[in-house]
Amino acid sequence: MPETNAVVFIVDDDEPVRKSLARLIRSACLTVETFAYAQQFLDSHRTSNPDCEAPRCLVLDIKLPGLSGLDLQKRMAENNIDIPIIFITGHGDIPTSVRAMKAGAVEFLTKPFRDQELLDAIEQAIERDRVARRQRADMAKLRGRYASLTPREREVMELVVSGLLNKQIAGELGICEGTVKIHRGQVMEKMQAQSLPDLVKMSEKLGGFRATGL
Amino acid sequence: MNHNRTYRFWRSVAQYLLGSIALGMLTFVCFRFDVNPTTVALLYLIFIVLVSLKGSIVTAVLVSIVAYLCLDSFFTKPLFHIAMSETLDVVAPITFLTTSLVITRLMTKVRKSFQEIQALKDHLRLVIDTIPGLVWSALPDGSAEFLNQRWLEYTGLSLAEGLDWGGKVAVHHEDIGRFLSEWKTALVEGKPLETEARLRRADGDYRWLLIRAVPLCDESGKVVKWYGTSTDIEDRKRAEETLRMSQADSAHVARVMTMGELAASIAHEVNQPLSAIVNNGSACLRWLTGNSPNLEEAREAARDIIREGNRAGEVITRIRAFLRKTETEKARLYINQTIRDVVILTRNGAAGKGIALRTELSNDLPAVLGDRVQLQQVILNLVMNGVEAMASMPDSRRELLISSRQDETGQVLVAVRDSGIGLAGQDLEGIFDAFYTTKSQGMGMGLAISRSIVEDHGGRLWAVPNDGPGATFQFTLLKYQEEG
Repeated sequence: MPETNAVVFIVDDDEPVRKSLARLIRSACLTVETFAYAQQFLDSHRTSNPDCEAPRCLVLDIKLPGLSGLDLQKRMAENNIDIPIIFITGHGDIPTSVRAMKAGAVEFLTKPFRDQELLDAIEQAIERDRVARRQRADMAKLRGRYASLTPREREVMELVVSGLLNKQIAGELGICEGTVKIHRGQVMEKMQAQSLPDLVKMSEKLGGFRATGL
Repeated sequence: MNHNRTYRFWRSVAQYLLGSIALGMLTFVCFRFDVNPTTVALLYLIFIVLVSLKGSIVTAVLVSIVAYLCLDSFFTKPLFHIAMSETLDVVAPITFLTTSLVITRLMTKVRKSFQEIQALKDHLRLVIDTIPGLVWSALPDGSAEFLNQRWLEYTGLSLAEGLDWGGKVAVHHEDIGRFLSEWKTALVEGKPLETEARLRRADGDYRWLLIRAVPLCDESGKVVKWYGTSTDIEDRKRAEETLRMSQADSAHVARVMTMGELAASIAHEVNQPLSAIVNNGSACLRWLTGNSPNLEEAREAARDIIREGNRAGEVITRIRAFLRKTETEKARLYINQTIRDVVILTRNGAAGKGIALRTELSNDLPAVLGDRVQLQQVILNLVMNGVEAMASMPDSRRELLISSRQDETGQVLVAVRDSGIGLAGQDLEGIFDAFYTTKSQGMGMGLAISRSIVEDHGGRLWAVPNDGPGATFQFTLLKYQEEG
């Protein structure tokens, strides 16, 4: 049973189809927001809070006046709008569907589709969004913790996860072993790592982040 | 005629006179200079040969005798007496007579041969100038050698102008490039040429010609001469063009491009309302059977289903109207001419498939009120179907018969009869349904469209299996009524 606060966006220029989709999705206890054109959706998204609580997904028609469905997918990727997309279309040809799926769509449905097909795809998309959100949130927390480390603590952390003993670290940094132990403790606490392997995993996740420097 | 005879008579007299004088002078000179008799005899012989070349036996014999007499009198002993005393007296006359006879005979034969040759040449020239075609010949390098009378009359050029192919002979500028390259290829490869190009006629019009040329080769295979004919195919080309344009104009053929395109657009147009209907139906059920039923939503859903159902119906209606020809141009029309137009177009193609196109058109058919382009389409469709029905037949009698007559009710009846695979096992009415086809390709719209055209003309189109192989498709058309 999908969360009641999940939001489904619908973009389809055919009004009766749009309304019928909205009605169907509402009947599955989901919140719906409809748009007639891709540009409308983009505009509204810019002004809204990108990191709100509720997981979201987008039900998108391929053939739209102006910006097409596939173009919107590209635009969203360019602007880091990470909302899972379910494509719907009146005529599905293989090249288009392959393009859409390769670019990361959750599903590609041809009209008319059975209600269960759409609702299953929406559930899948919302789950995907939920997972993505959690990962983003976790990552944000991790970065926050890392940001709280002092420069010296970061140096120590780097040497610790590379497998050096405290003595070696002391030699490397030109400080005494005792100081190293203190720094190490601070790192473990601030990063909230339970064990050395934990810390290593965190370090890996932070990999790209660290490389760019703070 | 008399003038001629008189002239000829006096000419002969003059010739005899001249001859006698010549002979006399020769004799006198020889006598004076005391020429050896044998020499004289030889000189006389030369004279006899020359006379014999004229071909008249009488003259030649006469001269022979006179020469002998002169020889005998003036040059052999006894002088001034004619007597056979020496060898020469016997040999000379024999020689003279033999020579004159032989040469005159020969000359007669030669003259006769020449006459025959000339007669043959004249006859041949007459034939070449008479046959209804433009005939020409060219040298191996491609330059013109001979042009028949018809060619000259057609182009309005003189022989000198015509032979200068680069000059006044006007090939249409759009065709000349292609024509010259094909002609050059033929010249180089020595292979027969068959091509079409527009040539300017004497009256200034450019007309399509079918140009054919074949090479004449010697024993070593080298091309010695090119012989060619050019046939005016302007009428055929016009007919082809008209039908092609009318097919392009014909709204339902132009717009109905391919089955795939049509299907795609129908799919899209119809899928939208269908999709809305399915979504609304599902939503309706969910709203009614969920934990908290919402009757208002269900009602709205049901209303939308009805509305979308109607929308789908409208789409179908629009497509059908789109397929049916909307505007027709009906005028007084003689259907036999339309049939003949279609035959011109299809005869070659049918012949290429080994199928003979025959017509039995009634002579006193009344006019009908019809759209020429549309009726052409119908007849063309039936003919093409018939040709295809017979294409897979073994070499039995492959004949397509198009007939026209008046039926019992006075309507004009056109029938297309084939001897092909026939209609066994097929619904005689169902074959006229849209999208019905037994072919692996094609939309199956031909008969449906044809029937709709015929019915639009107030007639009927139906199919009847033949007693023998094949089927006959017939349609009726209303007579043209003069405005009251």
